[in-house]
Amino acid sequence: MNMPFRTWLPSGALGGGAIDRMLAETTDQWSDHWFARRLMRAVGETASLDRAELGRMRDLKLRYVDAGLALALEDDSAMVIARMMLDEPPDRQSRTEADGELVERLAAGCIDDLCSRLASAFGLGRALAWRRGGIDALPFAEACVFALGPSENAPTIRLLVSHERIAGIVRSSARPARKPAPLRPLAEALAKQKIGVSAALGQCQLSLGEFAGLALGDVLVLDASTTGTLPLAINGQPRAGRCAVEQEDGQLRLKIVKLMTGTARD
Amino acid sequence: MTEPTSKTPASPAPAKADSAPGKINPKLIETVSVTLEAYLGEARMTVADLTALKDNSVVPLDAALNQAVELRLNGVAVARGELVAVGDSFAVRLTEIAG
Repeated sequence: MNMPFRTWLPSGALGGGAIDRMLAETTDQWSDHWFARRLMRAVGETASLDRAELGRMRDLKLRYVDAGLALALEDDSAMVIARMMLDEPPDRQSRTEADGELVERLAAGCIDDLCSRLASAFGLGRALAWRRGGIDALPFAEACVFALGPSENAPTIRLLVSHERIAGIVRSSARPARKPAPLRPLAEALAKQKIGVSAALGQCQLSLGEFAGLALGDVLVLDASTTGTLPLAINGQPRAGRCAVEQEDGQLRLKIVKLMTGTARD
Repeated sequence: MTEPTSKTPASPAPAKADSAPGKINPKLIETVSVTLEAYLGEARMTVADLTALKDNSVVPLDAALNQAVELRLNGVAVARGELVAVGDSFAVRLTEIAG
């Protein structure tokens, strides 16, 4: 009975209130800490993507953890972040290779901190080791994608959250579920189960060709003896014990000779 | 009272020229061996009643002495008949056969 499964929630339940509020709070605090004047917040519509759709994000560089979180960065994400940190206009061009290295160093700490804050917000703890790779390394098949950026037209970072992780947040932030009644013993439920008890008279084997050639009045000999007891069958399964056939006032009845005892696993 | 004629399963015959193309020859199906199982009556009861049974308990069946015995193929009743004995073995004399 142990088989692969994926989380399921009704349509629309994977996005919305609880996740948006948590993400806004996390990115606002992160922005306040790192950026001089502007905020980087969730922009655009949240998208729910499957493996094939995620596979089209080939140009993005990932930082990810197996527990269902990933950050996807564009080629110019580090530059955008560094300029927000330095309060430079977004359209100014970097001039030298040294500028580029400085930008990478500046942005790296900022992104590391975002990873840490997001992991904490999603209940994973801050000390997670984030790995780097391409979209093929993503350790989950379906994800909600949140775009983060300084403005609607400029998504800079994409946050990928596995459906399992989102579902965990949605469930934990929902109103407490009504406490159900304690489970009743299995035996109590089984006691009302209707079953059929009969005696197995035995069986015979023949080919379908022989069966097709049977005529009324033909006799089929079974493999059970008239001199001994018969298997007691429950719902057609002759494994419940042994019985003898009796009659009383023209009505047949079974006398239990031996009941199978022990557990079902015996 | 007659016992069924002992029938040797026919060897698979070559496909007839008039067989529908792509369909298996029905003669091949005829060689398939099946098992018929016979059960005597039935008593409906709950699991609670079942677990209360002990050795020497008596369970009335919904079958009279003259009740036909069912022969089931994969749990489906395909024939009925009178319960008889052949030597020391139970046997069923057919009174009804599925078409």
